Amino acid sequence: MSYIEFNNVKKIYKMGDVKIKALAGASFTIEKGEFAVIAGPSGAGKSTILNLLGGMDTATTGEIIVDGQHVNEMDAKQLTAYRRYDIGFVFQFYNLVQNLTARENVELAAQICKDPLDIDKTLDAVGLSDRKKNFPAQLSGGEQQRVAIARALAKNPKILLCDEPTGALDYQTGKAVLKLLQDTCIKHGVTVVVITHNLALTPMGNKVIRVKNGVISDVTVNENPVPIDEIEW
Amino acid sequence: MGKTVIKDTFREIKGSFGRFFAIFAIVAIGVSFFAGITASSSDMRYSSDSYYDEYNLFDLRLLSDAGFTDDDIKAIRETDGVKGVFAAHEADVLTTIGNAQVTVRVMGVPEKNRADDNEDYINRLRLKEGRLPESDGECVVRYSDFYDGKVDIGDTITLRSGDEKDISDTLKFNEYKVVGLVYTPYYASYDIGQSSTGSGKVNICIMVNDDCFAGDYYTETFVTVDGAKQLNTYKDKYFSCVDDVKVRLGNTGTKQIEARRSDIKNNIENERQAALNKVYDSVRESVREQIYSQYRAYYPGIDITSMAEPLVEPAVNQAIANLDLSEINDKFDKAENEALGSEWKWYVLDRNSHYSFRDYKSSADRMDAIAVVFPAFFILVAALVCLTTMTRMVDEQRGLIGTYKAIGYGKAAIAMKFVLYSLMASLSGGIIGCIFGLKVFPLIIYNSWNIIYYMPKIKYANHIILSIIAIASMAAVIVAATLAACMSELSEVPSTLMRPKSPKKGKKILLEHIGIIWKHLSFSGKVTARNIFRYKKRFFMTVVGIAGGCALMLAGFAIKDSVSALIQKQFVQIIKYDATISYSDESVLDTVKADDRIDDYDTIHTYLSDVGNAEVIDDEDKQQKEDITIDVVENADEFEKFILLRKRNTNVTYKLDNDGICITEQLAGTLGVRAGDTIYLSSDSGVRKPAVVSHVVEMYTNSYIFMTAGYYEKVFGEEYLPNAILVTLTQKNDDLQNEVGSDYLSMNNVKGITFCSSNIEKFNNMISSINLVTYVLILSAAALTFVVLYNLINVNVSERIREIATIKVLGFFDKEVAAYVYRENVVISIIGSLAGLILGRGLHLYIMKTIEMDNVMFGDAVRPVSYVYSFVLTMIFALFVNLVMYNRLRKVPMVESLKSVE
Repeated sequence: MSYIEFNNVKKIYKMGDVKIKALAGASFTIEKGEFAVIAGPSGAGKSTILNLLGGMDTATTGEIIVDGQHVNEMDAKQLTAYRRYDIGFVFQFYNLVQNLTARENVELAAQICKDPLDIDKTLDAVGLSDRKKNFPAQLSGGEQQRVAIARALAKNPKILLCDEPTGALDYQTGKAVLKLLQDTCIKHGVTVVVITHNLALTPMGNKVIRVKNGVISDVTVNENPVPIDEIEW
Repeated sequence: MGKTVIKDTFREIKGSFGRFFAIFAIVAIGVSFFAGITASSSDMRYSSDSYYDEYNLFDLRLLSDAGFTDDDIKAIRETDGVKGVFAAHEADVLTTIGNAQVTVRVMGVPEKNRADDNEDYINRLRLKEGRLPESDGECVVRYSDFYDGKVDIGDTITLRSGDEKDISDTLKFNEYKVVGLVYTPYYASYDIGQSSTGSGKVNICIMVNDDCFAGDYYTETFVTVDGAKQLNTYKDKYFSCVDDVKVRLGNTGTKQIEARRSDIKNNIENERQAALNKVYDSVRESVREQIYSQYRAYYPGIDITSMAEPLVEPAVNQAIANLDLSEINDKFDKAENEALGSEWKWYVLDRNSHYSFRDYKSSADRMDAIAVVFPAFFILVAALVCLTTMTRMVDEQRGLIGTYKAIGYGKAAIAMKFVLYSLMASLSGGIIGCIFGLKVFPLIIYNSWNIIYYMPKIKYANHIILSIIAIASMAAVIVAATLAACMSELSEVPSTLMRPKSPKKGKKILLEHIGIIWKHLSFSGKVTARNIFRYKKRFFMTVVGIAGGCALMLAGFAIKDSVSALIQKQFVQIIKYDATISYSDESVLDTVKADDRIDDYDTIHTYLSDVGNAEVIDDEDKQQKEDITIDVVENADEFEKFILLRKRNTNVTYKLDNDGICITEQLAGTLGVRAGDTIYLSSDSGVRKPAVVSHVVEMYTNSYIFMTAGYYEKVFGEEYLPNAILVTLTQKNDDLQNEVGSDYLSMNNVKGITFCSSNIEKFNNMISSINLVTYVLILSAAALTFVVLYNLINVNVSERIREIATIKVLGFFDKEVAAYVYRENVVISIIGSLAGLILGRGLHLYIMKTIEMDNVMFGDAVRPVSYVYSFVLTMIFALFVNLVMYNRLRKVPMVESLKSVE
């Protein structure tokens, strides 16, 4: 059994009388410690996968298993606990609390976990030793995304779920952030799932899952992922 | 601006109903308070004016030193501008009801033609039960709560004179059967007035057919004035209309009195002349007889007439000149002096000289004063609520504003959308608020006042102008707030607007620089502290709103406290005696001494006197007071067993001594004197002398002056003669009181017995009306708290929706999310409530000062538990709103966190 399993997962939204199939039976697996890239054009169903895997939404049918837990069978409270203890989330727009300093944003996540990492060490690890006391508005985009990663990491999650982590960043900064994610995966053994529409990023993943029209069109396993420094786009 | 913008606005309202509702609700509450409370006083005036018109209340009341004759009445009727005339009688006499001596004012009603179109039936009676008197042995009683059940239809009232004169001098009969209970517009107030008969206060008023009165003259004449009814009796126009007739009637009076005096003088002179003529005639006869007999003796048999007759007149004149006529002249001089010696005058009085009218008017004026405070406050809160709400709305629609601008709409057209939005919210809120407020608040306030007045059901005045002012001023404030909210956005260029606004920066707050406090705050404490001070507008709005709610509530509780404290302090702590027995012969003392139902007793001399500040000589109206009860105490050491003399809010008690007087606090305030000052007062026989004020003492109802017998004798040089006994009973219960009362009243040497418990009932009545006011205030407070917090949370949630969604994604449980958002609300609520307690105390003091009445002093004590109640209730309201909004938080979708910044 794989670490993460999607078995024929469907998600159908009802908008009045209209039914919209966002996911029409998706199946794939991701192994523990893998760096997985889920890629596809907008509207393909990437975000739905992210929502379901992140425990922010429930599947209409199908099975979602994470580390032996049946996520699709959880109620609202269990889902919250799942998000709390198992998932670290990195948003496209960082979603830092503006009113909290970098350190406090990390603390916000760490304080609700059972076994959080050391906040300062985590911030040091993402290279923000000098900006701990700064508010988000005083940080650049890349720095803010680093805070967001530190916030996700500090929870000591099973899965690091990243939604277009470079979407709002310029090329160089985006590269640095991806490198941080890749290093984290390799050094800490955390399972990282990156969702992106940028197909150029696919060579860096251990596994590349392509989504198209609500179904998985292709799953590629990369035996030798390319370090991010060598990828150009 | 085109149709599309309007369409967009309407869709906006539909789409963001919560926001629309927030403005709508605060405007509705504000306008209903503003319009409702402001309208109350004019509804009171309007209702009473209609009542006075409908029941034909007098416009002028005439009194005369010599009474009115039928000729006077005819002259009054013929005076220009006089519409109706009712010549009537009034007399104050005594009766016994239960066991109490009661002063009765007997008034006349026209014995015939009581039809509505009879303009001469003035001060018409409003029947409560039964019927009006038809035959001469019948009467109706003016209803009063206190005598409810004690005097009823079917009872017979036996009247007796209050002085040496026989009752038959005043009234043809002394027994009247009660056939009805009535209200009269003439006495709309609870108190009827002062009297020189009995205890000094009129307790009850009855009306009998006017021809039941004995006596040759009418004692008073009521007049209505042409055209006065059409005018509002509270306006100057009415008084200037009535004044013209008042002046003319004064002139009529002068003429009538001259005519009547010369009539009387002529009559007396005629009588004098007749009496003199009689004497002259007899003198003439005897002189003539004497002359004739002399001539007859000289000239017997001859007709001597021609010789004697010319001698008669000179001789008569001689004789008359020598006569002593002083006996006759003295008699007629005396008669003339008696009839005409004192100056005669007509007194023409308008409604302003009538206690009941003036009293109700001043109550309405008091409401005006209260109405000043509330609107300002509600407008402030409404402006703040609108400002925060609209600022949020404009922020959310940045992109849209940019789009409109890019398409080519001008500033005004774009602003129109927001103005239209808030205008619709405030206009609809204003209309609903007016409809609700104008009905409910005046009704509650009118009925509360009606516990001490006897007015018919409320009549609502026309409040179109007030409504327009209320709605328009609120709408103006709202629109101004809206414009203020969108001004800065409108002046930006489209490209800036279409880019997301950088979120409000987090920054260090002042508290962070105070290391000791900041370090000891928990993580969530720090977050809360930062959030509170991050949005100052919102913080201010919430604090003001909640403080207002809490203040209203505290004022409500505190008013109740003050009035109940009044009863407790006045009738338990200060007034300790149970009854006053006034007597005509001190033999009653032996009975009292032997009576084992009486615990303690002491004699005093009690009487009424006008008093005045000795420093003020020429200003007659101010710093003077009529008919103050003076209690002269024989045994100063024992006096505290009956009345406790102490300084308010302290435990300092005073003992009367021979160096000065003690005066009660409200009286001291009216006179403007303090301990050490001098006031003028009279002895029982009317000698006016200055006296030194030793102490000002606590007293809540009525005004008193206390002094020792020694000081009385020292000041007036008159002998102290006690006329009453203060007694305390062994038990405080009604049965014992009734028994003691009837026992003593049946004694010849007892003039009357008055129990203190009757006052308590009157005040208990008042409390029930104040309960109502308290509930209204608490409800308003709840509404205000609700709207302000609802709005705060609404704005907070919509503004921080991304943040909330993010922390949900981070794995915060619902309760933790709520705590994260609510913690600051709770802190702001606490700050607001604490501020409200201070504000409420001020409001309470202001209201108590405003509603203070003649002869009643309210204390300003507030029980600590009232502060606790107000605080706890405010917090409960706040928590309740949080609870209601909990669902809103739960439903915030987590996908919001994935969206781009709008």
